[in-house]
Amino acid sequence: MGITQQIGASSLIKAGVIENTANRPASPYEGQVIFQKDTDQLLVWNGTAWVIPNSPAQNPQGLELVKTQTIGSGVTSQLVSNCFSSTYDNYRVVISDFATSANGEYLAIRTMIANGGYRFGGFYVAYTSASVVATASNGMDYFPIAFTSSNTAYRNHVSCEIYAPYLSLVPRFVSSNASQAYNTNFNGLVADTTSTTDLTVLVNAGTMTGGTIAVYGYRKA
Amino acid sequence: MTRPNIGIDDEVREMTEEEYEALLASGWTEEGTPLGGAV
Repeated sequence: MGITQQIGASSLIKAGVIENTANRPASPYEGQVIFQKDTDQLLVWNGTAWVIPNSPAQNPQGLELVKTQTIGSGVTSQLVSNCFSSTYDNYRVVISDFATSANGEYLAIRTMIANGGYRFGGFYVAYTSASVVATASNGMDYFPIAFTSSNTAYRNHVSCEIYAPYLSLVPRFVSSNASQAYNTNFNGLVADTTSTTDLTVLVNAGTMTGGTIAVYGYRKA
Repeated sequence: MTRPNIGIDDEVREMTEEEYEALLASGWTEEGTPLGGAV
């Protein structure tokens, strides 16, 4: 038998490979790595417990998925509750692959109640024109992040940065998106320092169907 | 007339009359007035 046949899958000694939890080393050393076959997990002993080495707690990443929410069928708004907390100060919201019944209308978000305190300014450019159109408002009930796309071939894919929604500060919103007919760049805030845990996605005309709202948090440390 | 739906986490239900009145008061319309230029 050649040596190459003894160091591959047919090897009699498979260091660190165990069948199940009952077979884990009884007295592991800190940093010891094992592979548990029944769960297909790579585990490392951190001195007190077996942990998954690529979990956010063991190997922190910059952007962490907080919550996903499917958009309901034919809704004018979709609430995502309990997505903001003290764990993160700033967030990125990605809303993917959803249909809207109206075209060229506001797709918007709201982190607080409709209080007339949402302010935004920005511009948009139609793909069919090189003209920049400035737009602004100082007393809205929501923050626009894009225009809707009703063409089923285009669908809607948008994102928005949200700063400090949970903190008792004035939240900021930054969004740059592409609808089926426009490039939009809208920035703004809501003049309210009330801490909030919820996000609402809405349209100012027609309805939304399908797709996913994903809320990510920027890790603080 | 059938009122539009509202999504609250995984629950989707028809708006109440009060919610629908508030929605209309906010300026929401069923068809909208698109800016034009749609592809």
